[in-house]
Order: sequence, then structure tokens, then C-alpha cells
Amino acid sequence: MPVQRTNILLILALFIGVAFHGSSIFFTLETTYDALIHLFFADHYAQTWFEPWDYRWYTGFTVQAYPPLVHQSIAILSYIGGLKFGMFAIALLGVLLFITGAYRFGLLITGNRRVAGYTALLAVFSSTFIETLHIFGQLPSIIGLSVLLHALPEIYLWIKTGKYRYLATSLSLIAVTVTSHHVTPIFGMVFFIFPLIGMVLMDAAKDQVSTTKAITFRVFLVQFKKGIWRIMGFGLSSLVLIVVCILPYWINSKENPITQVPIPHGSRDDFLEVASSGLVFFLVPWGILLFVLPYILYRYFSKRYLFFGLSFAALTLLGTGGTTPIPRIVLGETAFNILTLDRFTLWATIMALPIFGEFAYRLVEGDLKSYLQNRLGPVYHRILGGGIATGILLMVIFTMSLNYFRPSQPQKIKMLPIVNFLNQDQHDQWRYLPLGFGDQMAWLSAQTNAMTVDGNYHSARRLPELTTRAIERLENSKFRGVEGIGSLQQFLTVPEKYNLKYIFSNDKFYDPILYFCGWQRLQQLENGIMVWEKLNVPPLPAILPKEDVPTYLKIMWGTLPFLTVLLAFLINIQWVGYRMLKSKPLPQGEFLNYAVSYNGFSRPLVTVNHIWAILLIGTLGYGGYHFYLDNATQITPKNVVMAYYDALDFKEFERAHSYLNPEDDVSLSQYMLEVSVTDGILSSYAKLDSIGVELLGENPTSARAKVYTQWITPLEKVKKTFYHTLLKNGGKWYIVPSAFDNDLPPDQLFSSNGTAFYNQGRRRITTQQTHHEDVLKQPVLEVLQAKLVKYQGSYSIVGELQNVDNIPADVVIKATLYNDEDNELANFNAKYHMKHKLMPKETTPFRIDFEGIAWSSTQDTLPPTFDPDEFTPVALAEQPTQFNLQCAGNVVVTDLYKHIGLQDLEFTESGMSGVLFNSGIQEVTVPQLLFSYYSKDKELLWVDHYFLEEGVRIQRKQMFNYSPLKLTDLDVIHSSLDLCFVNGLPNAAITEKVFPNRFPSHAQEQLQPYPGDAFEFLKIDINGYIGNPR
Amino acid sequence: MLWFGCREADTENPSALISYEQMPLKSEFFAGDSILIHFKGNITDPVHLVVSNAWGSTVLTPTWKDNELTFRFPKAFGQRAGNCHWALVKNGIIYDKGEIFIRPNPKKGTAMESYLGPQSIIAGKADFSMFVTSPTDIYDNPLSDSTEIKYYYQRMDSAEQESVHLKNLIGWKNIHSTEKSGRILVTATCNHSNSKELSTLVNPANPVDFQIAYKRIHPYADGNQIITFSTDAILDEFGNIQSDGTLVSFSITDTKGRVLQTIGTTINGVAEALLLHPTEAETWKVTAYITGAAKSNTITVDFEAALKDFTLSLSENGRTLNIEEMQSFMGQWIPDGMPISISIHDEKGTLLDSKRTTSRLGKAQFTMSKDFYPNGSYTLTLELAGMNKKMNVNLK
Repeated sequence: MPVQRTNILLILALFIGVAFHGSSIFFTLETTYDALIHLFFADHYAQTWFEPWDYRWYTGFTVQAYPPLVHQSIAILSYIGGLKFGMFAIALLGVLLFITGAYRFGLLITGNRRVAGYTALLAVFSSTFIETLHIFGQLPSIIGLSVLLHALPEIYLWIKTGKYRYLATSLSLIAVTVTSHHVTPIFGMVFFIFPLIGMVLMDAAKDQVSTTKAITFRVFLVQFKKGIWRIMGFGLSSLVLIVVCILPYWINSKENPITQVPIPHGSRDDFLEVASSGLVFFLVPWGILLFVLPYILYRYFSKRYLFFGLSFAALTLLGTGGTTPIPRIVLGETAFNILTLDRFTLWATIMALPIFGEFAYRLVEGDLKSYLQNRLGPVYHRILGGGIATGILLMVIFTMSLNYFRPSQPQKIKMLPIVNFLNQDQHDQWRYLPLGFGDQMAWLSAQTNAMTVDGNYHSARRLPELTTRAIERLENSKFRGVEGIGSLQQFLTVPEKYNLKYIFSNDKFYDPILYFCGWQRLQQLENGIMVWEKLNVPPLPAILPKEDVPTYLKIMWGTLPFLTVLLAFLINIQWVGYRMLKSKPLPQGEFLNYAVSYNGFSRPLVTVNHIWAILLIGTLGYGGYHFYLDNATQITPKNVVMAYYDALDFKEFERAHSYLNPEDDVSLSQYMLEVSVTDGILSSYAKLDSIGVELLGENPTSARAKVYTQWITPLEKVKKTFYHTLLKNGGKWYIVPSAFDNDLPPDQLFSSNGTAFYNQGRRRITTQQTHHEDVLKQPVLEVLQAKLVKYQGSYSIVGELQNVDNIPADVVIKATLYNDEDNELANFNAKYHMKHKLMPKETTPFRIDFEGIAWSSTQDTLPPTFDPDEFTPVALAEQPTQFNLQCAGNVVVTDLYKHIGLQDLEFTESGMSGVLFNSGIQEVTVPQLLFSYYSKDKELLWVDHYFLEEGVRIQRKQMFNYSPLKLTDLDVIHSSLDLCFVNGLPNAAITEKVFPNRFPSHAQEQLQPYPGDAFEFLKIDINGYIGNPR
Repeated sequence: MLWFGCREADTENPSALISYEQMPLKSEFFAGDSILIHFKGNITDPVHLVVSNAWGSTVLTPTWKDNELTFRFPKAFGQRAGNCHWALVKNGIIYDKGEIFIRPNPKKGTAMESYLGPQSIIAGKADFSMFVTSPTDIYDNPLSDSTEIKYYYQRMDSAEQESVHLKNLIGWKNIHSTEKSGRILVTATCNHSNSKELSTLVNPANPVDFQIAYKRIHPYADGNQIITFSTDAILDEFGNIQSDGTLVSFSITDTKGRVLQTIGTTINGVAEALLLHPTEAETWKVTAYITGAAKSNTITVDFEAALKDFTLSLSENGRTLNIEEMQSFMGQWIPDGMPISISIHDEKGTLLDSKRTTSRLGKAQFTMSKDFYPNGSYTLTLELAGMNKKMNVNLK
């Protein structure tokens, strides 16, 4: 037996791997998608090891929804150096396990230590591994897969030799895999272990005949019969392990089946259509492997590797997502929508590594080298080698920099001010909600015991408001359109239901919806995060519901994972020692006997691979050219319009200005000035959703374009049509700048007086309950009208309310519908069909719609696009006939700006137009008009709202056009003030005491006569959101 | 009493298995006194005294001295006012029982708990706040019924004093509102011990009708200057000035019957609201409301047209329409921003487009480019400051 020598390539691979990955994880891991989620889970175990229930996310969820080994390991390490230390340590361990695993897998497949060394070295630089670790941060997946790779040689040896020692080692490693990641062993069985068994049988069959060619199906079958007991033994034992090791997981999955509707994932896209998904989920993980695909297929489809070949082909195909219909057919609709298909690509590329290693070996020092040198000359060989090496390096750099150039996460947020805020003044007695935090929300949750309604592990969700929506998190709901904003709006409108009082906003996109749902700004923290609060939300009860599990499951969950590691350690330690220290020769792996000798590279293969590579380069080049053409901004009138709006959407005004006709002499500074003074929902809070350009007339030098745009705003979808004149000038198309409003306000400097309010909060500094005399009296409100109406098939409550107190009030109105038998049918709060902040004696109309949970019945089809104001009426079992109104007033001191006047009102063919005039000293960012419709008898019928797309600047005007509704389809079902309550007191008592001599004529005299469809009068109320109060 | 109720079913055997004699025992104490019960006679261990009051029960063990047993009540039992029952128990058998009464002990000092609410009331006769006091001794025992508590009120300039008597643990009084708005301060004294100062705010009652006026720089409808409407000080029926921030809405009906609006909030009873001058001659009828409660007089505001005329000229090919010499009342250029619109109809009278622009330095311009308006004849309707001008053009 030859003396075993340390494999220098493996050492090199480990050395470089640890240096490269070990140092870069500190810059990448925290901005990955998943790493911080695992950190949060680890924090859970660090706090309560045996208790699987965590109250902090989703109003409570169980951590038994994810295998615990990696999380528990981080938790153990966190006792030494904190959570992040634990995470980085585990990541480093993952790197080590992966490189050694790749080495052993390479050795198993090729039987050649040198080739295995190359495999290990290539594994370090494989773009798929880099992406999984540095972009996705899938630590459990990496650990699970690496351990599986370590298990493969042991399984081979068990089946081949039948020594029980190998059964023990393989099963111990499988157990570790199971406890770190549940999907890996299940699919690993199918895609790695089955082909491995096939390979063992092939090898056994080869022992019976002289050459591989002589293996017939009959010989193979004989071997299969011989090995069947070993295979069965292994298969059944691993099945038992998979079930037992994470038994609580399976029980939990059965009892809480994932009711989540499928959440779109890029790996299911058509990669040709969605280029970004194709890049991330196909081009990057495959990387340079794409160029040697013919070689890999050729080798894997040789007789010995035939089963690997089939598995590899299947994985490759499944990894293409929605590009071809095959994955959907193979996996079935359900599995296709639940699984993220990128894992198939990951496994395919890992499986390809040994063959790629073999290719590298043969190119660098084997038969391919001599063949190329002989046939095409040494220079070509060097160029080819250099080219591939450059390709690998470029892929590494490209993959590592993906997050740098296109960050998937918002800037790193300092969490300390938020944590302090939650800890102070009993703020953690309520739930909070972060907005615009990205995956960093998990890091925030890990640092506080305060609870949120959101969360970052959607398989564990329980609230139907969330499981029925295809959104990842509420926190980034703007990216998921209708489902996202719709779901968020439900939480914002009825926060009492979830004890949700505080919102940390890191994205001003959400600000208008917060304001119009009745939230108010509390303070800006030192890290720039704006805290919003909602009044009238009760604190969390002292005892929260939880789903308990039997103690034996808790103990299993808390102990088994580490026991598997301990056991695997004990069983494998002896050989690991031999392997590392070479103190004693290790039993030779049987698979070493089946190494192929590399003499004579297949000539046609060289040709085929060359053709393939050239085709590939051609395709990439063609794709690149088209990319350029689509993005060459000024080649056609259409392109310049698209580019202009793209620039506006991303607020790149300098670029937008470059598309303006230079002959019109609009200087950049002038343009910037004009742009900067327009504020409003469209320019500050909207995302361009879609754009269509219609050319109304085009001739060689000029064109007129009608641009249909759809903008997603937090409040509603805005459709707007713009007209542009385009000119061709020097071979390029330009946009003729549109005229600008010349309006000049009369005063350069002016003063404005107003009443400002301040609420001390607790006058006495105390950690006890607030002192009796520091509790403010709730402002008294009076409901003036309330009606249950049915309009276009859905029920609403409309009415009017007045703040009859002497202090400003924040108003919350909750309505409940009842049928004739007094059974409750539905309840909801007023959303943005009212003014939530009222000055003394101010009135507001209101309308309460009863929203259901969207798509709660599975038959409903998901709308294909984005529509934030899409409304799902609640499904009522019976006809509501009565209602109850609960109004609550709370003292408010902010958002009381009332200086918006209405003038120049005109009735037009399509409705009415008018001008809003801002006479105060705050810029109104999003003006809102509330239109109340009245009957001939001046009875309230309906309330409608209208958001102006542009803001009203100080002392300036803003025009609006409004088309009144047709109310022919409106029925007033019930009109009564009997069941209206204010601050828990009956409304009638308030009327009697506070406003005994009301003049109803006052309200009626202020109505605007309007010849409408089934209504005679209108009233206009004005409300406005101020984006930047000064 | 309850204690007896529970006890009666127990094995009670007063038959003198042992002989003893109860030493003289007071039946009334003051809270904080030390309470001892002695027994004398032929009693052997184990013997206990079960003591029970409104807060709970405890078992006492005696101290022996010669033939005399002494039970010392724990402090907590001696400090709690009310009935306190005791029973002498040996081997589960009650040999003797009795009860003592502990009175509150104001001699050592009195503490005062006091509440006043609501913290704001409306001026007039009807509304009131309730002042509730509960004087206690230093052991937190409410004092005996009919203890006198003195209430002091400071209503504006007048100070008042009144006595109430404790009943059912509390003394209370409704403090009626005054006609004048302001703050009422209250405090209470009992046994020379004072409460903290509490206050309720008397807010003005609902407003009564008021007067409005307007202020402007000039009477011309230039669409640029600002007119200010203001109220006089808005009062309630008692002459109190309305709370700051009270909302007044000004409703303006123009000549066409459209209802315009602007809003003001009061400071010292006076609300001001602003609006731009119209762009054409107008007569505004203005009324202000505090909806449901009060209304102002109606005033009429007339605006004269500022822009009386302008010149229109077309370029040679008819494609540029120049509006010039837009002069205001002194001959100056109309302030920038006067809105101008044209509608372009073709020969058949179909509306092709309507364009809007605003004036700058008394001028404005519309262009009809050849790319979109082929040569031919069109009708242009120009609208400016309430004036309409129609013209036919022939585009070349």
C-alpha cells in the first residue's frame, strides 16, 4: 500500500477557501436574504432552548417549522461571542465542510486523488456556492448539502462492502443532514443517493465482467438482487432517521399545514422573459460550467455514471423554472408553486463539480493538454486555459459584486435607537411593524422582545390576512402590489385587532397611506427612522395564546440535533483523525479501484464542445446586442419617451434633462428647479408600474406621443396620460420640454398665525402607571348622521361626525353590522373616507366599507397585476339590517393643518373643476377631497374620496377635475343614531348635554347644489397630508 | 359574621375538658394599638388562637408564663380597622371565641386620597366635575362615617369653603361649572391634613352668532392678491371667548351659484381665512359658520375686472397665436400666472384639442405645429379672465 500523502491541492483549496470566503463573509452575509432569519431563530434558541413557541413574529409561531441544528449551533456559539459571532463561525464551518465534501465527492466519483483535488479547488470558486453563501445566505442548506457530500462515500462503501461500520458512518451523517435542512436529505435521496446506488451496482457488475462495455442489463440485475438487502437496509434506516430526527417538524407540518398561497419567486420565472431572474437563478450559478456542458453530459452519460447522468439532466431541467413547461409538468402544480427551483440548479452545479474537476485536470496536466498541444499548438492551449481561468475569476468577481451594484437590501440600519425606543416608556406593550427594513427586520426582532405582526419566515404564518396573500413580508409590501398594499392597509386600518401601535418607517413611500389611515408621526429616531403611532390601541394582554406541544416533542427538538452531531463525531472521529494526521493508513476507498485512466481524449467531443462554446458566445453576444438596442435611449421616439420616464421614476433628473431638446435652452439648473418644486403623490411617492407609448403622428423629424402611465402609489393606482412633442436633432430624438406654470404668489414674505398644541404625556416621571391627573380626558364627539347603505352590491356605513369639544381630536370609528336577529356579521374601521384629525367644532363625513380578507376562498383567482386600491368586499352570510358605531376621540396635537381653500369651482361637461389654494405655511403634499352626496331633502347618501396627484405649494393653486358618481344604484337600508356610541357613551346623551340647541340648517346651507344622478347636493371637505412639516 | 357562618358546622365542644379563665379583654381598640389576649388556667400545649379579619386569617402560638398564656396579635391585624375575630383552638376543637373591634386611628395623622374628574367642563349651569375624597389614617383605614371634611374651592376670584361628611368610606361633592370660563381649583382638609391641589378647566360654552368682515389690497379680480376674511371675537352666551383652535368655515357663493370655501381657526376668538382674488369680475356672498352652533352675518364682496382687454395677433402662417398687452387696472402687466385656455375645433366643429397656458409679463402664446394640424381652417375659442373670443384661422 502506498504511503498516503497529504493532497496538496486540497490543502491549497482549504487555504484559499478559508481566506477568501472567511474574510468576505463579514461584508456579505449580513446583507443576504436569509442569514438574518437564521440569526433570529438562533436568538430564539439562545433565549428559550426548549420552548418552541415564539411570540415575536406573526402574533406567535412555532420554530418547529424549520430544522434546528444550524440555529441551535449559532445559539450555543452566541453564548461565547454573541449571535453574529455564532453566525460567522457557522458560515466558516460551512465553507470547510463544503470544500472537504466536494473533495470527497470528487474522489468518490472519479477515484483519482488528483482530480478530487482539482474538484475541491474549483468548489472554492464555484459561482453557485458563492451565490448561495454570499448572496442568499442559506446556511442550513450549505451545511446540509456539505454533510450529505461527506455521507456519499460512506454509503457507497456500505453498499459495496457491506461492513456495518460504513452503515453506521453513513447513517450518522444522514442524521446530521436531516437536522440541519429538511429538503436536502429528501431530494438528496432522489438526486444523489439513487444514482450513487446505481453507480455502486455498476461497479459491482464490472467486477463480474472484464470491461465496462460487457455490463449487460442481466449482469446489472444480478448485482441489484445481491445488493438489495443492503440498499433496503440503508434506505429504510435513513427513512426512519428522516422521520425521527425532526419528528416535531413533521407533526407540526401535519397539524399546521402551510396554508400560504404561493409567493412568486424568481426561480419560477421564464428566464428568457425576466432577464434578471435568468441571471440570478441560471447564468450566475452555472457560470463557466455552461461552457463545458457537453463534456459533463458526455461523461455523466457514460455507462458507469449513467444514473448520475439522468439525475444531472433532471436537475438541470428542473432548475430552468418557468422557461420550459417541463418542470411544472414533472413537479405538478402544487410542488412547483411551493418549491424554490433554484435549489435544483444548486444541486446540478454541485453534481457537475467532479466532472469539471476532471476536465480541469485533463486540460492542465492530462490527455486533453497533450491532445490540444499536438493538434492546435501550445499557444492555443495556453489561451484556452487562460480563457477558462479568466472566466472563472470574472464570474467570482461578478457574483461577489452583485449585491454591491444592485443591493437587494436597504442600507444597513442602526438598530440601537429602535431597540431603545421599544424598551422605553413601556412601548413594548404593543406590537410594532417595521416598514422598508428588508431582511434586516429579523435582526431587529432578534434584539428585542417586543412583538411584530410581520415576520420573515412565511411558512410559519398563521394570520389569514397574511397567508392568503402572496406577499413575502408586510414590510416590503410595495413590491408585491395589490396583495402587498392591500394586506398592509388591513393592518393599518384595524390595528386594534393586532395591538399594533408603532410603525418604524424606513421608506417614505408608505407615509401617505399611514397618514390617511389615521396614523401620526411621533418622532424621528437618531438613525433617521420615522416612528408613527396610532391612538386608541389597547396594549397587549398579559397572557397571549400559544399552541403548546407535548413535552417529549420539546425535549426531542432540543436534544436530538446535538445528539446526532455528537454521535456522528464519535463514530467518525477515528477516521477523521487518520485522514488529517496520517497517523495510520486509512482503509482505501473501494471506489479508488474504478478510476479511469485518462489516455486519449475523445476527438469528436473536442469538436462538439468547441462548437457549443462558440454557439454560446454567439448567443450571449446577440443577447448583449439586443440589450444595447433596447437601451439605446434616443434611437427612436418611443425609446426616448421610455428612457425619460425611467429616469423620472428613479429620480435621475440629470439623465432626464439630457433627453430634452437642447435647442429649447432649458438649463439643467432651471429644469432641476422646476422638478424640485413639484411635490405630490406622483412625484414623491409613486412607482411607475407600466408605461405605454402611442405615437399620434410621426414623420422623420418630429413626432407626437401619447404616453399612458400607470403609477403605483401607496393609496391607489394612478393612471395618467401625458402628451409629448418629440423632435429629431442630429440623429437623436429629443423631448420638447413642456410649458411651465408661470403663477407668482403675491407675497415674498408673509406671516401666519395659528394655534399649536402640546401634550405633556406624563408630567411626573414614573415607571408606574400614569398618574390619574395626567390622563387626559377624551375629547367629546357627536355623530350627526349615520346610515347603512348598499351601493353597487356592497354595504357601507356613511355619516357625519363633529368634534364638539374644545380640544383637537383624533377620531377612530368602528362599525359593526348586524342582521335582524342581532347576530354580528362583520366589523371594520373607517379608512381614508374621513378626516381623522379634527379641530374643535370641525365636522367630517365618513364612510366605512367592510373589507374581507382577500382571496380567502381558493376559487378566487389572483389578479395578474398590481392594484393597491383593489377592494375585497366582505362576504356576508346574511343581509345586514342594523349597525353599531363605536367612535373614540383622543387628544391630538399634530397634523392639524387646515389652510386649504377651495375656489374657481366650475361645472364642466365631465363633472366639475376647481382650484385648491394653500394659504398657510406648510406645503401640502397629498391633498384629498371628500365629496359627500346629499339627496333632494339634504340627507346624506354617500361619501367619495379623491386624491390629487400633485401637491399644493404655499400660496399657490392646484387644479383638480372630478367626475361625480351616479347614485342610481344606491339604497339607504337603515338610518339611525340609536346605536352610536362615543367614548363608550351613548350619542344621544352627548347631544342632549353638549349640543342641545343645534341648528341643522347650518350644515344644509353650506351644501353645493349640483344636478347629479340621483343626488341634488354635494359637499366638499378638504384634507391634506404634509410630507415635510416644518 | 361570615367567619361564624363557616365555623358553626365545625366540631365545637365547649365542654370543659380543660379549665381556663379568660383574662379581662377590651373589646375595642384603635388601629395601631398592640393587642394581647391572655388566658389563665389548666391549659396544655398544643393550643392556638385563630385570628381572622377582613383581609385574612392567621394562627397564633402563645407565650407561656406560669399558668398564663399570652397571644400577641401581629401588627397587620392590629392596624386593620374593622371586626377581628378570634378563637381558641386545641386539637381542632374550639374552646372559646370572641371578637374585637378596631377603630380607625386618626390621631396619628390623616392621609387624603382625592380625585377630580372630568378635568374639563363646559361653562354654564349644567356641567359639573365630581370631587371625591377618601381620608384615611396612617394605616390606610378609611375614617369613620360622618367625619367632617372641609372642601375649598377657588372659582376665579372667589374662594369658597364647604363641609361634607364622610359616608361609606368617601366624601364627595359635585362642583358645578361657572358661567365664566377659566380654571376651578379644589382641595380638601380633614383633621388638619390636606389633599393635593386639583383643578378642572371651565371651557367656554357653544358659540353664539358673530360678525365677519374682509380686508383686501384692491378691489380688482387679478387672480393674484389675497383677500382676508375675519370674524370678530366669537363668544359664547356668557361672554367667554371661544377656545383657541375653534374651526370657522367661510362659505362663499359666487355669481354662478358655486359654493367656495375657506377655513380659519380662532385665536382669542378671532378666526381669519384667506382666499385668492378671482380672475374675473365677481360678487361673492360670504357667510361663516361654526357648524351647528353659530353663524355670521352675510357680507357681499364685489370684484371689478382687472384685465379689461388684450390684443390678439396671429403669425403669418396662422400657426402662432400671440396674446399680448394684457394690462391690469393701472396699465401694468397683469401679474404672472393668469390662466388662458384655447379650444381648437375643426371646420366640422369637432373639438380637436384644448390647451392651457399662463401669462408671463402680460403675454402668452399658443403654437399649432404643422405636424399635428395640417393646413386648413380651424376655429379657435380663447378664454381669458371671463372673456371669450372666437376666431377662425387658416393654417398655412
